[in-house]
Amino acid sequence: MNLFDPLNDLPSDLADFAETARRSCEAAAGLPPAEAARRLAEDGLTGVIAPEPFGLDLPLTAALPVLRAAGAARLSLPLGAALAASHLLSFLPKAAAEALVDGRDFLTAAPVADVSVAGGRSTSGDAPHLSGRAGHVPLADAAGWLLVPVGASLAFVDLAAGGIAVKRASVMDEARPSFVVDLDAAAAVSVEDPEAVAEYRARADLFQAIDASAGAAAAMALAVGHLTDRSQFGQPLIGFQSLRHDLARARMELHSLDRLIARGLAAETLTERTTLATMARARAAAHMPGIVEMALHMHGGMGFTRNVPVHEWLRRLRAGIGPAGPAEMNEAVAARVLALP
Amino acid sequence: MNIMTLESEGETEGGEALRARLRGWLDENVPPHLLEDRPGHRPATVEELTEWERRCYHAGFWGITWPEAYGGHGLTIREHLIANQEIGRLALPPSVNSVAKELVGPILLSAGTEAQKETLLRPILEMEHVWCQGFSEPDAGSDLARLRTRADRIDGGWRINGQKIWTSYASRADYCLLLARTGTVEDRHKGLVLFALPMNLAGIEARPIPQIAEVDGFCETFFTDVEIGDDAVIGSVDGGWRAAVSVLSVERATNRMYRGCRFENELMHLIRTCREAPALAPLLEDAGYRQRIGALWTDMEVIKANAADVVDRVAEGREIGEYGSFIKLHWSEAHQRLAVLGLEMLNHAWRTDDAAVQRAKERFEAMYLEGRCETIYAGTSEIQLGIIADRILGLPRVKR
Repeated sequence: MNLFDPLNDLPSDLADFAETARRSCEAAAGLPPAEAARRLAEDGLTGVIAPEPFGLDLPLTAALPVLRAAGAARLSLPLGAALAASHLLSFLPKAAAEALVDGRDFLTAAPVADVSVAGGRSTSGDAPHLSGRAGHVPLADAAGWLLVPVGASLAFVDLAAGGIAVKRASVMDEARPSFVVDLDAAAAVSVEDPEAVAEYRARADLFQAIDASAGAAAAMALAVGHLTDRSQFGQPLIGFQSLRHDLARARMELHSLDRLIARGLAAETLTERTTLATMARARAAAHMPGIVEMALHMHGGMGFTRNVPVHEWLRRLRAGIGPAGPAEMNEAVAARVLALP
Repeated sequence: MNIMTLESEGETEGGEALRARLRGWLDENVPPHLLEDRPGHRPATVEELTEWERRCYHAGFWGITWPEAYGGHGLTIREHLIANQEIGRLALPPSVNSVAKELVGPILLSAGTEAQKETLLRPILEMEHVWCQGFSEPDAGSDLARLRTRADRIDGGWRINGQKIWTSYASRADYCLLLARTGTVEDRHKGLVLFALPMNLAGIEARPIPQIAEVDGFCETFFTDVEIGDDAVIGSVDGGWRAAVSVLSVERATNRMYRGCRFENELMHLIRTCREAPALAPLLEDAGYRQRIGALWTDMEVIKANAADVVDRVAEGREIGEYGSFIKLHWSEAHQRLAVLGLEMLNHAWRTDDAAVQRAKERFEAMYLEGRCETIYAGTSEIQLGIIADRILGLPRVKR
């Protein structure tokens, strides 16, 4: 057993589910996002934590094996955003929500935005229209819906509707390029419930951390395999203590992050989950890129080639961190701590 | 998840009720001068600490999972965690008998004879017997399998000759948990025998070694023709070490579960001091310091999460294995980072004579120096990394 396997160390009641997730995600690996969405939906993974009548309504912990499998398989589909928004589906028109769960459509999310309601807040009950820019949006050219922060609220935007312009901003993540999305009085569906918004943000942070952890673990598993097979100086590289210690330290960091994630998923209050999610994302941003960079380095020259997919996890991680790096996330933790009495 | 309940004097006491009782007892009984985050703090004498630990035992803080027949409280690891959290919440000094409570007790419970359990366990909790640990030697530190102290068969017992080092508290210990060799150094981990050795026997000399921190403890201890009976052997001859190691791998994960809460106490002491001192308050607006505080707070949550996870695993009968190496490696390095942050922030307070600031400076200076040994004792960081590589990751070994 390779203990860098992202599906290790899961609660025993999720073991069977983890295998289903692994098979499904491996089958969806390499597919365009729309096809991947359909493939995962067939196995119920897109609706795993979505409430009834849309999904399976499983507890939040059920997202863990799904997202770990997706992270390890380097899916192009931004599954974390979709699962994080599962509890918000009821805000959407029923047909749209059903399409997102059954894989006919998929959702993307903007981690940052400078967007406001065009003409100020609507008091008439009409759908608001949004103007402004959303940044670091994965696959905005292919997704059907965008979830975007609007001040302290959220809004769903139909990307096929009018008033939308997308522009590719980064190809760091080749399978999941990111875009800026300019909104010009685009029609939107508001999510104003503060608790639902806070829950989404906590889930998004936790799921981002899971994706990072899964990618780092998978990259290290490849590195262990390479170091075991490759001999230099008359012995397999895995025998060199400096490399063994580097691998052990990486495993310790993965373990630490996974404990925060587990506690965040199991948190009984939203406040607790939000705090732990911020910490998990901070720790992921601080430690996971270094682990994947090390995995690439451990492959020697092969690590710099496209024959070894470590670079794909590295691209995914760096793109996913976006403007929320260790400095910003640790500052967010500190702001909470220093507000304590 | 198990419901936290326990039987105590015929009543069922839930986890939160236990927590409330222990917290209430501490609030009423802690001598204020013991608390290292109070300006009135002064170092306690050994006699004061001995009496304090004895009272803590009777209040339910020590021997929590040990059987009642041997003086323990007969409870579960969940209650052990609760008691540790309450101890950690306060800035209390470490145990002066931790070797006995954290190592000797669990080893005796696992591998000791019935007579050893009956005579040796309760006096540990009552603080009547202080123990030291006789494992390391001048030429056998991290490579413990090279130890040379000999145990030779004599009529009805053993004759011990050799030298141990880092035998903390040996100069005032009543017993030594001694690891000696029956075979040759080439036997490595085989041919080792574990003794419960009374320290008042003829031929034992303990010499204190000055430490860099202002606390006593270190000794080197010499054993010259020390004769001991067969009844002092713990476990089987040549098998005690294996028994001890299996216990220790679990103990490394379950000992000192107060660390997460103590880490929080220390970090909050630093923040509180900075917040209340005009010379230091601006530092809490500095981005660099804020980021380090945020990272350390996350470290603290990892320490707590590790403890909670161990409790869940034990309660569910799941493997712990060498889990303690994750805990030791992470905690020791994070604690050193905390001490450094405290030093750097508090050094800005040179203009003030404020007693609270001075107390914090003294605490963090001591923490910094004492913390230097945290990545050394109980297996260096390199030993922990080796354990993770070998036994957790299962990386193949290569013989050159």
